[in-house]
Amino acid sequence: MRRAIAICALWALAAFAGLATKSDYLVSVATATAFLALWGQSWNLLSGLTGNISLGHSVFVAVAAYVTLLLFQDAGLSPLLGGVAGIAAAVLLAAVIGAATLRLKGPYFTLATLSAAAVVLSLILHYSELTGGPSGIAIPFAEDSPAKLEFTNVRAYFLIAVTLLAAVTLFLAFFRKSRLGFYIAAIKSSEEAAAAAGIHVARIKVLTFCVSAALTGLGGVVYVFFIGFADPNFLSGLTLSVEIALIAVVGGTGYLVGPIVGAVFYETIDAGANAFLGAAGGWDVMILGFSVVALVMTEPRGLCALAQGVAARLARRPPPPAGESVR
Amino acid sequence: MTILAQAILNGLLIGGVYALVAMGLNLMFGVMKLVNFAHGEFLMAGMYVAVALAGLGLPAGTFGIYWVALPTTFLMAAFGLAFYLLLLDRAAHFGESPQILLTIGLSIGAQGLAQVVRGSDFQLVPNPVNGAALHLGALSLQLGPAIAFVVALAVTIAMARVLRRTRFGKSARAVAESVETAEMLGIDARRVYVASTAIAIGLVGLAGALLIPYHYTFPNVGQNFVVVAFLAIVIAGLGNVVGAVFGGLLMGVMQSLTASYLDLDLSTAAIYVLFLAVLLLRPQGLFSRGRRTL
Repeated sequence: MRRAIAICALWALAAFAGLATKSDYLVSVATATAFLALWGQSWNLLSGLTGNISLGHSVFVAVAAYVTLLLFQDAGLSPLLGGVAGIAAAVLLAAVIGAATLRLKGPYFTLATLSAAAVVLSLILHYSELTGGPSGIAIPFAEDSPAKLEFTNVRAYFLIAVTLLAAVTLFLAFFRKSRLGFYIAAIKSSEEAAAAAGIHVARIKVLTFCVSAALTGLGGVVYVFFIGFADPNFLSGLTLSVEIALIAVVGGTGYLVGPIVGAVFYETIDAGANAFLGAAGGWDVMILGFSVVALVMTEPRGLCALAQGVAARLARRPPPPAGESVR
Repeated sequence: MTILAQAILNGLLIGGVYALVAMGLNLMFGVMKLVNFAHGEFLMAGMYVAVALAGLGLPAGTFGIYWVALPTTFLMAAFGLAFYLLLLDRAAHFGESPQILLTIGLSIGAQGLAQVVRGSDFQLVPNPVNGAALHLGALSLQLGPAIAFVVALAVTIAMARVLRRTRFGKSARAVAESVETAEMLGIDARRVYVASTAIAIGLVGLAGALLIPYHYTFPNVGQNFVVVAFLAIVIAGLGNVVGAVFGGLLMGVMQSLTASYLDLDLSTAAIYVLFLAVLLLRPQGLFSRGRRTL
């Protein structure tokens, strides 16, 4: 309950801050951060809880976005309805991938998810009459229209993104304490023991994959209208998959706010490097990569654990009594 | 018929470099159970080192540019040594997610560093090997890839002997089987780790030096090779170092065949589909019998 109140309070604070910010650029950076955090949360539901690391999560972003966009473009279906179809498509794909990769663990699972995403990317690129191929699909802007997810003011997208993020975070908070959440925890610690206790291991694993894909797709549907352009190499690319996993682990997979902290860390470095060192030249990527290395070497459990450690050390400010070993 | 033969030949030749990259990757996985996502960036670093060395001057003769191969290999091996001592030594106890995070961070950071230092231009040292071809009847054989292929085969045979016969090879195989047992028997696992990393990065450096006569060097070049190398090692069997070579060659042939008969986008899809099929039907790999060993 306290968690729920804290999430709502943070949501209100973020929404207010977004509306009060004058710079459109800052708000769009914050929106991108919120989407990244949303995907990180969805990723964490699968990989953080089950321990199987997916490096193909962008495929659900792409599938949901493309299905919604094509229904909108070719059939005139509102993205609010088309989004449901898009998410359903992502879930269907997740059910297939999930069922196929059920037995795989560790690097095998990781490389299987990476490959599945690569196959979908090449299919999107190949069937260019339908998908626009490598040049993607641009969404023509007609007028402000909530039913078409088209807004002139970027703050509208920000509000949607932050609200979705808060909703997903809330969902995750309850999910972890739900029956299903405990089943997953049991499966993570030992599949054999969980199966012996009567848990349908296969069914739960596929279900978790589907839920994670649905949430990821949800972000994808709105994201593509926020950007106004479907770029297959980004939406279904390895870079996005890696980013999603990276921010979740950077924040700390064991923490509810982990992916949010990770996303803020990531986008701050990215935007900071772009602002001060120029967008071209690779500074942003370099600083980002090496700070991740530095972080792992100081605290492999992520930023949240690092903050907790520092806080604990500050709380124990008075020097330890003599006789205790001082490091 | 000629088209088929030519496609297979081209594939085998591309596969030579994949094989060198995959061999090191698999050595590190076999011994340390570490999936090195930065392996492609070590290839990239090797290529930049080789380009810089070649910039010092090329001896006369068609094969002059290959003088950089040995110095690059040793420099990169030293680099691998530093990589182990500075990062992996501690990260060995971190568990899977932080290790993946570490190597991915290193990979991203190294790409950025290359771009900052060398710019994002495509670089190629002018040399006589580039574009040269041998003709065997109706078939043509690109000289650069052919040399890379021959060296890759020689290195494979040497590696197989090292793993079978030498003290290091025997220790490495023991550690790959079970660290605990190996340490109980008096093998210093840490020394095996250090040596494996140095050899793996040295091999990928050699691959880089063999690539630069005919392949452009740029900050993201490693990505093109490392993903295929990953797939190759899983197809061969994770940890199966010699099998990785066949995996690499198979990948090259698959890519080349589908590119000749289907189209380029689908050729990427085809290798992934092959990979997924192997993964699902024969998770221990095509060339491993049940257990994963070096």
